[in-house]
Amino acid sequence: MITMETVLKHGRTVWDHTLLPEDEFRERLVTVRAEMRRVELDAIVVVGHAADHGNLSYLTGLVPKMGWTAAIVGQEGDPTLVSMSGPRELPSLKSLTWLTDVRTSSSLFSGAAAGLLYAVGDHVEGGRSIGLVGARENLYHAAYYDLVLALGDYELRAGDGVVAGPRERKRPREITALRRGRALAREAAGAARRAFQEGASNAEAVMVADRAARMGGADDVRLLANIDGYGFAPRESHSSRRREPLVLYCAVELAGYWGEAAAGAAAGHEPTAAHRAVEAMMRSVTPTAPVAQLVEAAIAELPEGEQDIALSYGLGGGIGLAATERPTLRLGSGEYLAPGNVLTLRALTREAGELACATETVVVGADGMSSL
Amino acid sequence: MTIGDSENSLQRAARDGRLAAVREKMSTHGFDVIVAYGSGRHSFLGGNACWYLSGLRQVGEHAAVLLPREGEPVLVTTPAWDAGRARRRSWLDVVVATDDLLVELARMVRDRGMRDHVAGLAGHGQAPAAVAERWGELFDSPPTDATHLLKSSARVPDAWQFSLIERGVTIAEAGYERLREIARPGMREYELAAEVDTAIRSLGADDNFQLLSASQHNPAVRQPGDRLLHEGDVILAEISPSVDGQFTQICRSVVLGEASDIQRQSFAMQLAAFDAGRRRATPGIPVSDVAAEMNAVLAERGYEKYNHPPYMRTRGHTMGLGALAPLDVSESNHTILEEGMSFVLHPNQYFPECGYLLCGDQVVIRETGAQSLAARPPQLDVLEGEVAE
Repeated sequence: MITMETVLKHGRTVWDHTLLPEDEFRERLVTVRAEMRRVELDAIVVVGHAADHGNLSYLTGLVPKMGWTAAIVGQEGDPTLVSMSGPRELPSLKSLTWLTDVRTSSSLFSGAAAGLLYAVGDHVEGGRSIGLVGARENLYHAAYYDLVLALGDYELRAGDGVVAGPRERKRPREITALRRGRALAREAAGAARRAFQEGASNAEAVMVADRAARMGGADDVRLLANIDGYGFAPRESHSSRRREPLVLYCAVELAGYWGEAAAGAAAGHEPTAAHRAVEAMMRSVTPTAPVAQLVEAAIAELPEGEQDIALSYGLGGGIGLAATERPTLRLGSGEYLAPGNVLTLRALTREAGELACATETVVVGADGMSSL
Repeated sequence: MTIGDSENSLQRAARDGRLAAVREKMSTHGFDVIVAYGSGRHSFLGGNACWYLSGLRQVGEHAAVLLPREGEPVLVTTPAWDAGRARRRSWLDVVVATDDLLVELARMVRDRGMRDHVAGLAGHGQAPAAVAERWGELFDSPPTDATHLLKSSARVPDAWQFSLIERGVTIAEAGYERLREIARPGMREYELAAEVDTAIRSLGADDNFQLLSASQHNPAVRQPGDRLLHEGDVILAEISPSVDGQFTQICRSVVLGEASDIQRQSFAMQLAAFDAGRRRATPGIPVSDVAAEMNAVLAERGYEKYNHPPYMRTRGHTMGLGALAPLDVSESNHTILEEGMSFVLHPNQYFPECGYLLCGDQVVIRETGAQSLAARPPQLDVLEGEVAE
């Protein structure tokens, strides 16, 4: 899994009304509420974090920049948003979501329990069933236990699938957002490639990609490259050393949606193991293919001894409001592809001592797949 | 022990000093081993116990140092693909990278015969439930809280950490200079933010807590949006580079065009509060006194109401990943200042006549007061003569 979380997403911070208008979120809410009724949940408490905001952003449009934010969704009425931010941030928060009931904590260090308990009480009566979504993962453990204790008058259940399920099949506007993210990632990787061709070092080329992505409106950027001769690494200091060729992995987040791209050996070279692995995965994509089938296809193309590290980077999976989401390409997966999935297929590996990276993003359709 | 690529005497001394200080306290408190946890969801306000003992700013979700009272400490970090970088950048000799922290820690504990040891946990408050619920599997008896062992030795930055802070301030100032060079009407906030971020990362920052926004009347400082900069805007910039995992911060305000009298008067008040706080911040003084001194300057001029949220957040704070004291500079924090403590002091707040203004610097506590580490003190900067579109 590619991680490298920043302390604060500090790129372009807007709610793009033109791409994701209010009606888009209301439609999503209809779908999620149907799922809530199916599993007999009266409400859900969706806790997101800057590092794991997919479920929260899907419903609210807000991409939290630091720490936790939660949404309370009942069966009726608009959801309520509660942020860890203090009251100073309220005007800014309100401009970043379609929701009008936006609340903040009394301070940055307030726990989640008190604020969420009041908000939950505004949506559902005691004794009713509440699904917790992302709370275990996105709150410090003490804050999570406090929340569970505070909601003791309710019937609490895990509710993650209620939002994660609908997210697996991308809506048309999500496809557009993903296409834009992919284009920006490619633009950033291309800028790095050109800078390298013009004499920049690998580390400098990474900075060129970072700047290009941010100038293009990215709210977050993740870059790995062959900077130090040992393996893929983030740029952490200046280096004027050049290592041929530049091999770069680039992920950008634009309007909350991720896109990936790679830069590697110049055109005309033999396909690398990374490219062969990605192509093998693409050949395995069918509307109902078992996910494990894609993983096995990729592994068969990876050099002996490099499979484990490639799996550690991750071979990809669903891409959307998270860089890797369900279905996840991992060994032994019991998941199946379905029409509407958008997949990033990724391979970062080493062959004959040289690093190689390839990515492709595909849309799974009822009749097959297409490149995003 | 050897230190990899970044070997230098300050880092070596920091490693030896930190391990020795914590081990001494382990003896006093009866711990045989401690597990110092680090979350990859880094906080620029809080400490990271794993970073403190390993020198590594992790890129994965979880990491921990297994520190026995005697014998070799071990860094276990995630993900597995980061093994090479982690070994080069950590100052510990034994570094293991894995995709499952708890499985690897359990193996280490078992193989080293530590299961029956008296164990402590440090920094574990930042762990999610899925990790916290498995600590008990590592040892025969559940580990107990040992965070205080690190807190007592990490209150004051050591020489290596202080060198990172100084480098960070230099980088932050260069980033601000870049802002002053290029800010112009017609530019979007996020484009200016991208240029500043590029400048500071090019100079060696590995992360950046950066808020940058502009308005004719800012209600607060925020992340950059699509707004076009315009003549008369006040640009607010909190620039906070991280160097080797240690954050620093400067807070600056700059007027795009001619500053109004009220803007100058408001900033002068803010600067007076900043200076009053700096003078008061001497060793032995509680943090609450420093905040009160700053607040008093503004209250005397009729702004008492604005000394509280939502018009401000705090008068300053510690900076992650190393500093664990004195936390927020507020009237409710009674931590006693010590010589060498370093944090950002900033009477940032809203003024009803001209909006939010920023004024702050990373400081270090000296006998004579809080010494600002920036070469160029905060001032209300003006970009006059450069605003014609």
